[in-house]
Amino acid sequence: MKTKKAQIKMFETIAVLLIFFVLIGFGLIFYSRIQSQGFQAKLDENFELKAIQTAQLVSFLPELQCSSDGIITDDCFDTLKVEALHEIINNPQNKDIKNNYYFDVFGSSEITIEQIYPVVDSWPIYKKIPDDYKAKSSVKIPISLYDAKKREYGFGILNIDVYG
Amino acid sequence: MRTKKGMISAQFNWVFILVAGVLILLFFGSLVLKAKESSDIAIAETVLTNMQTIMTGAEVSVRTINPIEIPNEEIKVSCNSLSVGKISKPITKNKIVFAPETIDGTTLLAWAFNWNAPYHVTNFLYLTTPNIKYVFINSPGTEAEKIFNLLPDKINKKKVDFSNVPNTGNYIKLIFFNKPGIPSLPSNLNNFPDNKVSAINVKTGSNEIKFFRKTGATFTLDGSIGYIGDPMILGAVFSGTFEDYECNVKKARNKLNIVSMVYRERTSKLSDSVGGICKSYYDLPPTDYSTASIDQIISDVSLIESHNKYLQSFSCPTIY
Repeated sequence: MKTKKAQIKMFETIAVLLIFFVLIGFGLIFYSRIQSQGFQAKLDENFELKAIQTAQLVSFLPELQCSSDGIITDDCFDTLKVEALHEIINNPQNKDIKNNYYFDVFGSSEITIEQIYPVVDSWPIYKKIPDDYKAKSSVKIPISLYDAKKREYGFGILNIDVYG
Repeated sequence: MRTKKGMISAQFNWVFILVAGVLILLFFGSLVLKAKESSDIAIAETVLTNMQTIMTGAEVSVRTINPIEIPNEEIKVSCNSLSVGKISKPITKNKIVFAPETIDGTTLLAWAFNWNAPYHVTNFLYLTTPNIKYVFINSPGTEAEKIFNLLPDKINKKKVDFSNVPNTGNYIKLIFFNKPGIPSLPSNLNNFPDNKVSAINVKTGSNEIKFFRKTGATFTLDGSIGYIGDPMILGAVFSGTFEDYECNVKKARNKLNIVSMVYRERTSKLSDSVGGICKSYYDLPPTDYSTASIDQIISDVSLIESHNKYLQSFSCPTIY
């Protein structure tokens, strides 16, 4: 009789422990779900930040900016520099510059400069799109384009797509 | 018999409680440790992400010093990475950041300066804290005065005679100009810890900077390297170690090489489209600036500068 009582007491204790751990398990699952949602939101935020940083970086790139006697004009790209950089980056002889230097700077992204006025034209500057990207962020910045040969200004758009 | 059974049952209960208690304590203990670890990682990640944003922002607003409030975490800065605790983030190849090895405290001073050779190549970013004192030793000539005046007032700087070097502050960097041989250590800094005092000696005649570290009561030479322009002297003032400075100079020269390739291509296009007197000035030297000597770079810079002046005076499209 006493053995039976002791056994019941034992089962009671085990059951209490079991319920205790099940409740903790539920709590942990709930907590980790909320944490992972917060983590994802942080990842998204960082990705958007990276896209803006890349856009800012391209806007202030000395390889593209207009200058007169060393004085930089903001939001202006020199079309001759644009053409030159396009040729340098896309020249197979300069593979190292593209894959090593510019990949480190721009990462997985696509940078294109489009001229809208006076003539429509486009220069793909840099392109590295991963096959299995999960996110894409696009930034478009209006810019003026200076043609040093004709000494006249045009208008264009700087397109930056960042992949993550 | 009954008493024996009861005793065994009571003992078993206690053993059971002990095991279960230890397991529960271990479980919660590990949970707390994991939570602390992940919170530390989250703080480090936030600090580093904010630092990268600060660096990108400060880099484009040149000649403006930005005092920035930062969390009181030790941030380690090297030429290629930033790190807080075990977490580190890379500094990309286009970012040239001259900074002390460690940033302590709650205020970060970020300052950017444009580097031209002679066209705009990049902006150097200088990071420091008010804890670091930059002491310029008075010397004949105008170079020390010029570099001292270039530094914003918010930077903890002082210009003194060798005999009046202050011995207060967390870290002291001495800046000598054209001092022959190895500079001697001011006697009142003898008791300072070795890792809290360092010095540079700028040789303006040979465009060379020598780095020294304190070993006991003397300075020991760490290394020497050539510089191009005042922004690189400022870089040496802010750099924590010779190795970091050397690495940043390499990055700067690599950037100069890439920007020069663009200018070379651009001027050859300009040369094709213009005629007459302009054409003869569109010839840029085909030098590889990542490996060229400092003298070669300086001579090329003055050649391009003079060509640009001629082009300007003949109303031709300029090189830069």
